[in-house]
Amino acid sequence: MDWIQQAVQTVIGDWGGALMKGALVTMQISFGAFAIGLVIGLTVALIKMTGNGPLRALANGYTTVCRAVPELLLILLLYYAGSDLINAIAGLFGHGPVEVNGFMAAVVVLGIVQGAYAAEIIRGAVQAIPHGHIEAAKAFGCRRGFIVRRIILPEMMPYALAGLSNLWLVLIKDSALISVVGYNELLFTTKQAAGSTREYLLFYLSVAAIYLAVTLLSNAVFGRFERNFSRWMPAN
Amino acid sequence: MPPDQPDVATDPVPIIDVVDLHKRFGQHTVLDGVSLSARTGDVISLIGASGSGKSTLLRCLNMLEVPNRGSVRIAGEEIALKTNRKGEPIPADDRQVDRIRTRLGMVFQNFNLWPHMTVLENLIEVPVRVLRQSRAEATEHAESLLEKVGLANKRHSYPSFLSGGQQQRVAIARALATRPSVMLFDEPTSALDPELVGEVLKVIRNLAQEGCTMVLVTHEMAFARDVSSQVMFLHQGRIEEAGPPEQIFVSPNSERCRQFVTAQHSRN
Repeated sequence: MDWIQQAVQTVIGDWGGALMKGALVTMQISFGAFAIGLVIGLTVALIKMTGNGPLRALANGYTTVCRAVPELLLILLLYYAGSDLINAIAGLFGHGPVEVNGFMAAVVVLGIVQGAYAAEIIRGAVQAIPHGHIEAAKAFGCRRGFIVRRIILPEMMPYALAGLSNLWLVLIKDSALISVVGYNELLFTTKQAAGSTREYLLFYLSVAAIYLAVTLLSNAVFGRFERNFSRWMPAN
Repeated sequence: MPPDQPDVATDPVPIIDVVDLHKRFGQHTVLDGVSLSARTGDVISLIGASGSGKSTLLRCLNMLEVPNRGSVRIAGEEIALKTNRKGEPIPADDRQVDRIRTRLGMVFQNFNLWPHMTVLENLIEVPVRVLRQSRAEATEHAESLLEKVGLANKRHSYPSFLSGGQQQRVAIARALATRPSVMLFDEPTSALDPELVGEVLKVIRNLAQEGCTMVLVTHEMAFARDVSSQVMFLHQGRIEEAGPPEQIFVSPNSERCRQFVTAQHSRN
């Protein structure tokens, strides 16, 4: 019993605040990156399906490269090369070196990676919509933007949901990669805690439990969405 | 003629006026010089074998297919066409096409209701959001249309929960909801189980009796004979014979037309 009390004291009492902060950062990075990823994914998917030649080639290049290169390398590349680029531009305008905000960098970098996967998920989901539904809207004089907003987006959601929920779960874990550029998220904080207390098993198991809890919560939320869609899309 | 009685009263502009329409898909010629004219109150049935071009002709009326040559006039207004860089025909002015499309109600073989909207939402979507009618007005009109097609009690159902016949009746009501000048039907009963065909034909027949102007692509010969003011028999992208139903179904001039209606007749 003593051992348990001791463990609780170490994890929650001594490190609880830091871990909570780490978890919060992980969630913030994930939400931000997911939102950016969705916006990029949607745009790129639409370009792939309707854009002109050069734009489409650009979109295809983006999804290919971002899905081919290891995410860790992409993060290193975009973070350090991105900092250099920003500094070079700042230099051109006569500014001194700029400190790149670690949090923003994490969100943007992960968002760019996510966008490539989201684009493919969304493209597949849009192609699952029977063409006649779009044609019907055209036949009634609806414009393109209207059709995207009122028909294509809501109708593709059930097809995209499974893929997007996968993407979200992967993202929560990928956000740990951001620690390589020195940003304090959940896993990085845990590593510090484990190192300084030498309670490796205790802390790594605790953080695994936190990731599991986040996943379970996410599943519940996505399950709700799914039930919502099943109102009009009965399970076959 | 007195000045307050313009020509229009005695000799109205045809609501649909198609002249010398040509349409190719790649090397394949689907329409090879077709003309068609419909006046308010006309019910024109397009019949013919699969691949004769009747659906393509119907889809050219609202530019779901864009003809390579020829003109389409709706209520006297010619739809302007041009050629894109690849040499394909496209509408010159998308706004014009959108505007004209709002006056043509279309019913598809596969219903094409929007599955994420309830029956009522399907009906008011275009009136409210495209034609900018008030929601109350659009809803009232939609409910009277649902009453008319016998589905008032399904107004809050989603399309996937309805039978094919019910979905097609909703699709007809949706097309009527914009108060179109002409209704276009593209094989409205071809995707239905046989026992559901009757309920849909009944709705279309009522519309015809009310004087609704329509162009109908159909394989239902008995029905076409009953409701049409004019029947056109298409063969290999041309109008082989056109005339009142008695002529087409009883004493056609064309041998091909005679064979087609006889074969259809003996099949039924």
